Parts: sequence; structure tokens; C-alpha cells
Amino acid sequence: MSTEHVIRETLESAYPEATFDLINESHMHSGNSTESHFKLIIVDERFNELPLISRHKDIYKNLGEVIKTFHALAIHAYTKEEYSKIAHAPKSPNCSKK
Amino acid sequence: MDIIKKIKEQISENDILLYMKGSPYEPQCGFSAKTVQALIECEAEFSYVDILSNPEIRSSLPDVSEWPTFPQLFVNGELVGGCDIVTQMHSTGELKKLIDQTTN
Repeated sequence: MSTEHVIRETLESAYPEATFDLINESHMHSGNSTESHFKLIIVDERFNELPLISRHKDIYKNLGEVIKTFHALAIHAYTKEEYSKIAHAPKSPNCSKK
Repeated sequence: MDIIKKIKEQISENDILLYMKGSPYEPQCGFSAKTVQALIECEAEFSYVDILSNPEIRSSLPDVSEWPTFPQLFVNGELVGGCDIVTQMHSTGELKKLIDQTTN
């Protein structure tokens, strides 16, 4: 099973009420058809009143061991209200490898 | 020295501490570079540890901080977060506020 598939399934079962978008950004780093860098935009009411750090820790905890199998996961976790106020999630940085 | 003890000392002895890949002058990862940029824009005076040249810290810090990835920013002994959190806090002005409180 692909890493992307594992992340997707894990999130679907851990955050059944959430809307999320998982984007494979590996082409910016290690090339096409690779699974090194992902970006997650997740919107869930469960994040209400949870500080950013606790939202990220919760996501890391739910993802478990799969997080160790790839290089980077950018996380943008919002409540519905926060998400409605922004136009789009921030862009990920480009690879700095020369 | 015990590596866990060393990490805990670093965190408690430095008001603003960034564990990153490379140095602020030559970051070796886009996420580390972006985090350094946010700190510089907040005029922060910060310490850093290059985890690429300290493999023991790289492997042990995630257990201490309960945070699996790098960079990791600590302010006043507390983990603030990684690149995404620091960037988001920078965009809302929270980061500058936190740093100003630390340096004053």
C-alpha cells in the first residue's frame, strides 16, 4: 500500500468529521512518483480551543509509525471558522538542496 | 554526558532555541530556512543546534519533545512547534509578541 494511502486511511478513521486535503509534494524535492514530502490541510471542529501545538501533536499521535517512513509532512490544521477566514493554506517551501 | 540530560540543559538554558538542519546562515532544508526567516523578521536573538552534525540529538530529541520532525522551536523551555506553526504564528503577529516577551 502506498504511503499516501496509509496516511489517508489513518486520517479518515481518526478524524471522521474532518474535511482534509492531502497533497503529495514530493515532485518539489525527490522527483515524480516518489513519496517523501506531503502537505496536509485539515479542517475539523475538534480543533476548537486546541492550541496549534496540540493539534499537530494529536495528528502525529494518530499517524503513529507511518510518519517515520517519509521525510516531511506540512500540517495546516484549522477549525471551520479559522478556515473560512483564510483564502488558502500557505505554500510549502521549496527544496533547499543544491 | 547523557544525551537526554544534555538536550534538557540546552532547552532550559536558552530562551529561544531552534533545532534545525544546517545553520541559520546555511539552512539545509526549506522548512528550517523558513523558520529561521520568521525568527529574523521578528528580530529574535536565538540559539541553534544543527541536528545534521549532531546525530545523537537528532535521534533523541523527538522522544524528549514528543515531536517527530525538524525544525523544532523552543521558547522559555517550551516547545512552540515546527515550521508550519511558527509560520502561522508569524502571520498573526503572535510570534513577535512571544519573542518580545522573552527578550524584555
